[in-house]
Amino acid sequence: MKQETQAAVDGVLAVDRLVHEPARLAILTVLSGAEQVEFGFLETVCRLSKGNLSSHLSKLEAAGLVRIEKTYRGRKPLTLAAITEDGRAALSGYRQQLAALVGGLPER
Amino acid sequence: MPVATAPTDDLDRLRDLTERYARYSRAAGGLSLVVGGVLMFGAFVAGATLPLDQGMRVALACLPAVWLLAKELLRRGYYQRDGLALQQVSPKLKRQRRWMVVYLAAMSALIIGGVLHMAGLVMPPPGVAVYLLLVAALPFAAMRWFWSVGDFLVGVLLFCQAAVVSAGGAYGGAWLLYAAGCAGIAILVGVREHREYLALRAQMAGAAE
Repeated sequence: MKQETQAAVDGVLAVDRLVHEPARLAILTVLSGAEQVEFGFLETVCRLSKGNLSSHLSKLEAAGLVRIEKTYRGRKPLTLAAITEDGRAALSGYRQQLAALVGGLPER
Repeated sequence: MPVATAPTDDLDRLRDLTERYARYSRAAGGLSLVVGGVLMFGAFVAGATLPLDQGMRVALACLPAVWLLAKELLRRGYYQRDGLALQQVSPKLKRQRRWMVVYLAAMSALIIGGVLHMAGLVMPPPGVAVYLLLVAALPFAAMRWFWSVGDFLVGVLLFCQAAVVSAGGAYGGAWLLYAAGCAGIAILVGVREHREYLALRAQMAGAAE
C-alpha cells in the first residue's frame, strides 16, 4: 500500500469510535451547550427512545465523558446529565478529526 | 445544486439550539420580565396614587413573591417544558452577578444595621419586622433568581416598594418616571426574548418532523 493511502486509512481508523456513533455524538453535542440537561430534553432533541438514550448515556458515563445525576423532583425521579472535561476534550478532538478527514473531499 | 456545508455545521446548529433553549433556565426571562415590569410599575403607581389601607399594603408586600412564583412557573411549565437544560454561566456573567449580589448584601446589612441601631433592643413593630425580612431576603432572592439586568431592575424595585409599604410608607410620585423607565426596559427585553423563544420552538418543531 502506498504511504499516502496508508496515512489516509490510519486517519479514518483513528476516529474516536465512542464519539463517532451518531446518537452519542448528538448527546455529547447537546450536553456541550448546557451546564446540565434533563433526560427528557435529550430524548426530545436527539430523537432517541428512552432505552436507546439510556444505553448510550451508560456507555458515555462508563468512559468518563458524561456525568449522570439521579435525583427527585417532588416524587418524580429526575435524571440529569452533564458533559465532563474529558467529554469536552473528546468532542473537540473528534470534530477536528472529522473536519480534517472530510475537509479534503470535493463537493458532490 | 447541493449547498456545501462544513461537516461540523449540523453539530454547531444542535449546540446553538441547546444554548438558546438553556438561556430560559437563567438569563432569559421572557414573559416573566413582562409580568415583573407590569407588577413593579403597578406597585409604584398604586403606592403613589391610591390610599394604602392594610389590605393594599399586604397585597403590595406580596408582589415580589408573586413575581418569583410566576417566574418559576413560566420556566418550568412553559419555557423549559421539554425538560430542564441549565444554562452555562460565562465567567463574565458570574463576576457581574457576584458583585451585584455582594452590593445588595452590603446595602441590606447597612439598612438592617441602621434600623436595628435606631430601634435599640426593643422588638420592632410587625410592619418594620416585615420590612427587615424583605430587605434581608433581597440578596438571597438575587442570588437564586436574578440573572439579567432586567431581573435586577425589576426585582430590586419590587422588593424595595414591598419593604417600604410594609413599614407604612410608599415611594412618592417622583419615583414614577424611574420605575416606568425600568419597567419599560424589562417589558421590551421580555417581549423580545419571548419572540426569540417562539422562533426557537418553531425550529425545534421543524427539526422533530
